[in-house]
Amino acid sequence: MKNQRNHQPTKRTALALMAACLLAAGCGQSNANEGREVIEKPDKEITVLENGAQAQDSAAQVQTIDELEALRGFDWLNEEEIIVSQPNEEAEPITVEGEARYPNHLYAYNLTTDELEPLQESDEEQNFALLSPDRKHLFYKVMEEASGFPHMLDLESGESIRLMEDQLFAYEGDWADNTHVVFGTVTGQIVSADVEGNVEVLAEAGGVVSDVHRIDDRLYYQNGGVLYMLELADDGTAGEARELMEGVDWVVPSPDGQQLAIVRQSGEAERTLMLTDLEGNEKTSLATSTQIFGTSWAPDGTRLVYNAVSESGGDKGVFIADAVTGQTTQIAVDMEYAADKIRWSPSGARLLTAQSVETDEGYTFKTYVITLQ
Amino acid sequence: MMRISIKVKLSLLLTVLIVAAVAILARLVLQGIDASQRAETERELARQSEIAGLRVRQAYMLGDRKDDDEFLRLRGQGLAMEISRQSGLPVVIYDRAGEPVGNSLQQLEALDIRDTLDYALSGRTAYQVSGASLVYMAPLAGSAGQVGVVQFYYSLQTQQAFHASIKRLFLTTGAAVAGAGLLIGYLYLHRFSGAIYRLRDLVGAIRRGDYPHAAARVRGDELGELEAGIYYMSDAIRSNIDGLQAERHKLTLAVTKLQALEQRQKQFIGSISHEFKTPLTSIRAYGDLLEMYADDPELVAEAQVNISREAQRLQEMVDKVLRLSALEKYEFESEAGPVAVDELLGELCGRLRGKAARFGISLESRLESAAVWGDRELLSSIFMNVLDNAIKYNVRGGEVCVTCAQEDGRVRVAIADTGLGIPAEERARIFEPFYTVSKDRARRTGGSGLGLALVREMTDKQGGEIAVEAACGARGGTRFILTFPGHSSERSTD
Repeated sequence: MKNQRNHQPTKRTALALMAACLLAAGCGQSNANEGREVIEKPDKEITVLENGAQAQDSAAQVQTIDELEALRGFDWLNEEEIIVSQPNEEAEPITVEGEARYPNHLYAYNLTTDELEPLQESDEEQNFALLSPDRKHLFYKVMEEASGFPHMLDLESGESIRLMEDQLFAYEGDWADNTHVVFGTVTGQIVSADVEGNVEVLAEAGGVVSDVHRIDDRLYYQNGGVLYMLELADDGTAGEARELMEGVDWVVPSPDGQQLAIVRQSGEAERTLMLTDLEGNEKTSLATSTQIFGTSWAPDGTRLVYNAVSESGGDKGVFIADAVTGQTTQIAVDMEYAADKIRWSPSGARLLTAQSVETDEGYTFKTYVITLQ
Repeated sequence: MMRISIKVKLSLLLTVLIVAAVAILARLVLQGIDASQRAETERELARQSEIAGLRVRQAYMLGDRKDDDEFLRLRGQGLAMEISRQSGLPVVIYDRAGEPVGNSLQQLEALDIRDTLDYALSGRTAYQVSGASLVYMAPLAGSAGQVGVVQFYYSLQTQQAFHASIKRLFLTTGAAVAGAGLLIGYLYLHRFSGAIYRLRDLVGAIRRGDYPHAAARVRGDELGELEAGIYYMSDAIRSNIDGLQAERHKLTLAVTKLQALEQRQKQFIGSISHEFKTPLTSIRAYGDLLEMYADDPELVAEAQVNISREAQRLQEMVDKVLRLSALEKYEFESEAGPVAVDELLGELCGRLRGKAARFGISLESRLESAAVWGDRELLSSIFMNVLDNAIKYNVRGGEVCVTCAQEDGRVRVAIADTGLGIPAEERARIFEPFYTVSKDRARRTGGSGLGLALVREMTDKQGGEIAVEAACGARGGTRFILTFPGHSSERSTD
């Protein structure tokens, strides 16, 4: 009997400890009530949140957006002027896909004065313009249906040279430096052309070659969604092509030629925008969405802009990604019908994107100029 | 206090533990689910309101630059529709005053949201929950500060249904687990407490004086050890008690024997003193006579003879008494060895022939070779006594017949006389100390009455038996039969 009396207090303390532990565990859960105020009312409960989530990237705040009707903006001539294409109603109509319409011509458009200045008079369909880095030359295509002939335009003289009789895909071609462009032809050749019109076949890649870029002696190109890289020897001969990555949509070299931005198919209906080194090794993953397109680097190489469309009714619009922190900010909604790449102005303070618009008469374009703060 | 069996106690404890564990687990899990769901909801709605804000600002920038309020009034409805389409949630947009300027649901629901709206109008995000509906409000920023509020309606039905289903799951699972645990626990406890009950019954049996034997199958744990220990104790107690009882029994026997011995000794001493008195009286009588008539030669001669005779008798009595008591005390002094009975009898017959002849009695013997294991002196005494009696209580011209034979491993000695015989009713009593059939007769022939008692004692010591019967035959008489266990050893029959 004496033993029983001795055990009773031990039992009680054990039970008390257990109960305390359980209560503590239960209470620990409800400590997530910081930064908020909860007001209980007879028929409802109101929660008021402290707005701490307003920290937005100030550099990615939109100041103004200008809308330009019936213009397709391609690139920035300077902070105030952009290269656009527009149907020229004073020219002879041409037949495209069995329909007659006015040909598109290239102009320089002044954003302040709204003046249009034609760049090169012709009867041909001019489109898909790309300025050289020094903005002295313009690489464009004279279209025939869906593909076009490469042309080089000297902006100062206004003279235009047809570079090849071979045709290119509409979006094909990139400036390697101030005097050279590289592109892949429909016949599978990788060609380099200079501003004088001299053309050189760098490599015979074969198959369907697209998205060709050149960094120093490296050539990057796509063949059936696979990204390849080959190196050019000092004597100009092409080395062995090396496969870098599969399922690639776009490859965009950085302005300093040190890294690549790649949009890659990462799932059934999923694309991922990532940064890689020059060998294609992933360094950062920036964004994932159903579609990602129109990617381009800011001139200082610190940011990228891109269009993302999410199928699940989520994000849809223009985003800016910080190449260093990886943070992404949405700066515009919609704009999912981007026709070309979104282009940064030389200062990096403005963005240019052309959107296709469906009307009763067919397609037309609207160009948006987004000015950042 | 009510007595609750350990089985019930343990089962209850088990049930309580299981139920408590499941209940706590359920509570924690459900709490976790709630917190997670709330966090996700807030995150999603915050994102949607950010996108909505962006959309409103963009629309503002793209449109003609009106002032914020006018813009919102004009574009509110369109924006509400766009935001709703993009987010998939019903949207209402309010202006700075809290008036709705756009509603994706077309008809205005009379929701009581004024108080929450006031919070949102003050620049903070707020939401209210009532039942399964959550109304989320975030401030909309215009070109210069807050321009209005965007409201999302969010149904918590799915979340609450999920919560309820998890809760139900815990209830059913908990009940099933508790039930199964209780059942399994009870079954195990049943076996376990069965073992304890068995031990209890075991101890009860021991208390009753039942000392059970150890069971063949013993558990391998502490209970098994306990059980083995209890059996061991039971055995020890039992052998102890048996031992004590045996001891007590022995003591009782010894006491009884001592009491009988005391009794016999008292009788003995009584008899002795009586028998001693008689010769002493005679001697004293003669002494007195001699004192008075010292010069009577006839008296002197008669006194001498009688005194000698009485003294001799006294001497014999003392010897016999001494021998009797010595027999009872000093049993181990007897030397045992193989004794050829026939030889011994032959020798004794030879010694007694002379005496027998004096009384005119013939001694006949028919002796077969037979041997017993015993003390030669003692056997000699026995036979001598009986032979002597046969001569003493015989008639003149009578006969004493001695036979010795081996029968069924036993040696049978018969000594028959042709005397007066012993009446049947007296035959049992003749072996009592100091008993004589005829006291006068014994005194005349010099019998002290001790002889046969001694003979019986001595015969008993030798492991034999003595019996008496009437001798059949024309002349009557008595026959004494002594039987001893035979000793079969090889010996030369030369």
